[in-house]
Amino acid sequence: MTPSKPLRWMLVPLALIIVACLLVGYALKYPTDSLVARLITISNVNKALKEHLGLVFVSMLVAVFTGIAFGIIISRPIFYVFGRVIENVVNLGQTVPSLAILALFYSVLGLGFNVAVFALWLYSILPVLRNTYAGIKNITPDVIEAAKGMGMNPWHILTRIELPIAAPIILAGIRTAIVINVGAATLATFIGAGGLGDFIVTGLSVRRNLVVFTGAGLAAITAIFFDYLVGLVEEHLVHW
Amino acid sequence: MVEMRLFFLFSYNKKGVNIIMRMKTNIISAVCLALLLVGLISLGGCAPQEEGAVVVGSKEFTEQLILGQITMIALEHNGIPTRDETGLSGTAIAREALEKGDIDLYWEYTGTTLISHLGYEHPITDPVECYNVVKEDDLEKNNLVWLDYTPFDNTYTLMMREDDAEALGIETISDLAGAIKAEKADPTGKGWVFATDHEYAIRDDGYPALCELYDFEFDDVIIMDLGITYGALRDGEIPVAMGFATDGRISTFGLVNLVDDLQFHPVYNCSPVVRGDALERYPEIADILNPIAHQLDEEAMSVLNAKVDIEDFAPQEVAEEWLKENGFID
Amino acid sequence: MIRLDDVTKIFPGQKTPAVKNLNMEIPEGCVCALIGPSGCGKTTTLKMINRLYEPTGGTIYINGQDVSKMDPIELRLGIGYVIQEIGLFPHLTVEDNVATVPREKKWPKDTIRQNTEEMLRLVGLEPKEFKKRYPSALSGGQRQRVGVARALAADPPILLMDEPFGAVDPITRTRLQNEFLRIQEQMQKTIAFVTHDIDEAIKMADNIAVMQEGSLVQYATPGELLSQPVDEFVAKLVGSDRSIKRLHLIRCREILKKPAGFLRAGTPLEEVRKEIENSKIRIVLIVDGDNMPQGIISAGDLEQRTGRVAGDILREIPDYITGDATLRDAFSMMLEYGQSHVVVTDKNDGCQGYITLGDLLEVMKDDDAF
Repeated sequence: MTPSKPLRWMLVPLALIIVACLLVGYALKYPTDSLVARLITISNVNKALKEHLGLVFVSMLVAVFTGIAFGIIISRPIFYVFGRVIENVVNLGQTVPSLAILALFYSVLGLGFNVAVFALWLYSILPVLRNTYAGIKNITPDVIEAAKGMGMNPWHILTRIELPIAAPIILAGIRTAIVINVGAATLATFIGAGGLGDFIVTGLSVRRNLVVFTGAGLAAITAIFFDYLVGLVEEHLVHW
Repeated sequence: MVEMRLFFLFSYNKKGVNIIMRMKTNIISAVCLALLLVGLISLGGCAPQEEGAVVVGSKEFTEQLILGQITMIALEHNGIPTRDETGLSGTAIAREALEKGDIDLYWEYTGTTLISHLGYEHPITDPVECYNVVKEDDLEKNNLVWLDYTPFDNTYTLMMREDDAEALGIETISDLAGAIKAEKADPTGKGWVFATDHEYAIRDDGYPALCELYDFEFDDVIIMDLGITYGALRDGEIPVAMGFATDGRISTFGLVNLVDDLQFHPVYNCSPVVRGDALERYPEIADILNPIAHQLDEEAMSVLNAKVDIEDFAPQEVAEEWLKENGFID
Repeated sequence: MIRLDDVTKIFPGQKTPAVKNLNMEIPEGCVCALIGPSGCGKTTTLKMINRLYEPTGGTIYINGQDVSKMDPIELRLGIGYVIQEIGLFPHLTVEDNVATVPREKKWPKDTIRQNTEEMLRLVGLEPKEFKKRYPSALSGGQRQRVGVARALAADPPILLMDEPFGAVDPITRTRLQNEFLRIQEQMQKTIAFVTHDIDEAIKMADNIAVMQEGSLVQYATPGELLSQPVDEFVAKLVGSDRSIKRLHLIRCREILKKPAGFLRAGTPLEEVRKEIENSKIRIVLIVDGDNMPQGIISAGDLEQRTGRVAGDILREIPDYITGDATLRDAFSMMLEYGQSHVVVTDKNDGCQGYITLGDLLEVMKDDDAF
């Protein structure tokens, strides 16, 4: 018997949460020494997770909106040149290592949350932007022409035809972005923005593998978790 | 993660912090282990030694490269032939090369050898005591001779901006603790926040023990990369930060080291370590290098580091200029 | 009524006009086919009518109104538009596709739902079965039907169709054409459609506009076009088999013959013989309970074959044709199955009669019939 749909949807997130709990539970129960015990506490894990999720959430939210908006703009023929410029700038942003982006902007934007969000935004906007653009450009011109010829206004053509048809590709872009984002957010620790990177870098610097493993494991689980969630949204939205 | 760390090494290699490198080497010990093999093989495969030449080694970061150059120039100036094996990647490789006789001499830090090479569990925070322990042990066990050590102590330091420290009358860590306990306003207006790297924040002999010994606490602690603490301090993001005492940016950015008046931090004074057999061949090495070591205080070393890291001079130029200025060569 | 008055279109960056000085008029309720080789400007002309393209010169009037002075959205909402099957919205169900224009017009939901079902039935798709499907789950012919239903949904007086039956196989195309003609008979829309298939144009259109390199070469009824092509180009376009093409101008229902009787398969042969002898016509049709054709028996069959009842000796008919089909379609079917007759049947009313090859020859011989 196959489980009902909502149950099936819950299965993977539930399993991930259990794995995360086991991971943290193990580190809490069997710390290799007092240093590890001091590092891995419920409140520290809570704090790091909260910081991490905060960074990911805010930067992704901004990246999704700006990415889709810019993607739409550059898919309009009028903004073609302007769009190329934006795409190239963002492309360039992607080629710069994320750490360098952090280092570059911390002196301008200061330390901590803001600059980390900015760097993460810059880093995750590209997949969203590029996929939005590609998704819209890939639509058969006949479909758009049919819509136009039938008297749909431009706003409806965008919201009822172009965006829904491009949705699977846009969502794939968001999935890519979110995985990049969760991973890159571990670097926020270098500019004092906290997050799961705290565990990873501290663990590395004092050579406590359990701490590294806990931080990296939680980050990986978070990435898979979000990837799965967006995948669900995709499954839910796309029927054809 | 290894890749990430490597990037960091790379990014600071060009313009940045010499001392980070030492800490980073610890972190990438896994890579070092792999490189160790390669390094040893390549060392073993070297051309036959020039008869009588003293082989000078060093680790790969700025301060070490400068010390290596200083040594070679000074020895050559006094008629002792040398061969350049500076820039070995990491403490472990340099030390092993010295023990095996692939190099005859390199500069090492007392605190490092105490813990890493002689197997002591607890650091010693008195420079003289630490030096003496290391000197005796290494001579006895390994026939390695520690010449005189430098006044500079490249250890953890708490830094403030010079202006702020002066305005608040803070010279020592005790002064800082007093100011915080007296609830004096901090210079940034954001509270007494302390910027530290990841390792210092958590180490048994790091921040937690510091607070205990000096009996005070910061309002908040921000953990960040060591490379950023100097700049953040300069920019007024934070009032106090930790760093390494001889970093070139301390002098360049107008920062000042607070005196560790209770001798909390382990000591890392630097000293030329020479193989016993090499010293027998050229006993005058000691007379040449000892006065040089005496001249290298924190300010001098910090300026030398800054010249390479921030002004982009070659270590050799910097070494030669400094030796001339101080009358060791002409 | 659509009137094109000296319409010219030059695309930016091109020297030769895509359409030049075009004058034509499509009377109300008429079907006009635009035909010509690719690049002749027929699609451009079509798209200028609903302002997907703006003319460079000249004026287009719909019911006397200059379209360039109308709001383009309003204009298009009043014109049904059909393009090849890929013009369906892939992310919307059949139902939502058909409801596109009514939704743009903000009709009430209930009205839209009723109208959608009505439209689907009109094009021969059972709403229950099809309305929740996505275009990807439809055959080419079904998609084309949805396209037509979508264009007709808001009951526009004018219909523009760009190769509406282009992307389906010939058999399906014939069927769609016939059904479309049936619908058009009820609706009496003013229709302009683009095609490159002269047979389709002759069959479907009241007027045919032949275009070449942007100019109108001949604008005439199919009969005129076949009998009096203005020049070599048009003559070549209509082809050497003009007399066969003429068969397109007559519907099967116009010349079909009633058989001597519609009998059941269980009828004894004696009775069949009696039916044939009593009538001048030497053929009977065998039908089932729904009056759908099962087979045919001629006087000759009675002589040559033996059996007890009609079912034993009937010749089965592999396919039948509707009354809307043209004689050309009937001819094709005869050739296809190697038979000298076809049975004409209407979906609703059942078996109507039959047409023989002799009937077709009769028609072709009598040139005055056109």
